[in-house]
Amino acid sequence: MIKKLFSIVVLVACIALVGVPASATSATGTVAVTATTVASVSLTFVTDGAGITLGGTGTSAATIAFGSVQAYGGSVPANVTKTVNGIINWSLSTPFDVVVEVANQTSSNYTLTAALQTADATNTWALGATNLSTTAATLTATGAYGSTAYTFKLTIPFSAAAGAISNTLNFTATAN
Amino acid sequence: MRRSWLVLIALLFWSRPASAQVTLTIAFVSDPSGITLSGSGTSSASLSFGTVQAFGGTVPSGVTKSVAGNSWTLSTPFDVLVQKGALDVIDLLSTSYTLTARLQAADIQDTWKFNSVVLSTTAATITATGIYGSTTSYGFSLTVPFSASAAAISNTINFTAVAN
Repeated sequence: MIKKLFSIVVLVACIALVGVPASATSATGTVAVTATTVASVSLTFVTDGAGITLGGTGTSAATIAFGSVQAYGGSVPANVTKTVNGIINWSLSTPFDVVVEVANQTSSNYTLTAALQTADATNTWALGATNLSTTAATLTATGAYGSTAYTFKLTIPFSAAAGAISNTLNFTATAN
Repeated sequence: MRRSWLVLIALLFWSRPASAQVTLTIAFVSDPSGITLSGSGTSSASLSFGTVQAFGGTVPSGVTKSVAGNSWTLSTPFDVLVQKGALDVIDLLSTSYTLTARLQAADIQDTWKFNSVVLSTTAATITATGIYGSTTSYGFSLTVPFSASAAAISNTINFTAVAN
């Protein structure tokens, strides 16, 4: 009798197992994602193919080192041009690239300004045809996004005493 | 006595829910290397990147920003934990699960990826061999093109875990 009952129970259990609906066991969940984007402009300096190798090329804080140079004789780094202007002054010039990019803003061009960080009453610092001072000068008001080469020129008068020269050019690019 | 036990066992099998869906659970957990999820540990979490920009600015801790030629990407990992009912006979027979994900709303501008899988409103398989009870880290990324206007971005990722 007990064996018979046991068999019945096992049969019922099997039916119960087999009879479970075929629908798959599942679970659902959600992850809500939010972000607020704002417009931004990137300004970086890159070594020009015909220019001196920049320290920190590809960044927004590059450096140019001419090394030890002299008006007559000596040597200058690769891709640096030395020009002697009579007995008045001499200059070192080299191009480098200014790369400006814009993101998440409708802008067809940009304005680029530059200024010397520290006043220099002795030497002349220029970008292209623009002489620099501590007051920001506009290099272009219609800059095309991407890479643009600018020629940097440092002019030293013969009357200046030999010594170390250093300064920083501060650039600002503003999307128009 | 033995008869009573046998009847009880039979009832246990028989009383198994007609729908077994309540026996599988999914939870989203903040990854130690990722952004802190709101609602971490639940099945309804949220992830907020806050105010962000392609150039400059800051991103939340655990978030990586990368800038490509014409787009920028925010990425962070978060964990998924799928568990099954320990006392459920049928579920004990399942040794793995399949995890799918889809976007709740279509986004033709930005690119949403989960575990390197590009998401759309059609469910995509994230894994077909998920391990129960194992907190698994997945990379999530949101790519925004430069050409997109600055704006609030929001969407929901719907996940489904199905027992194999």
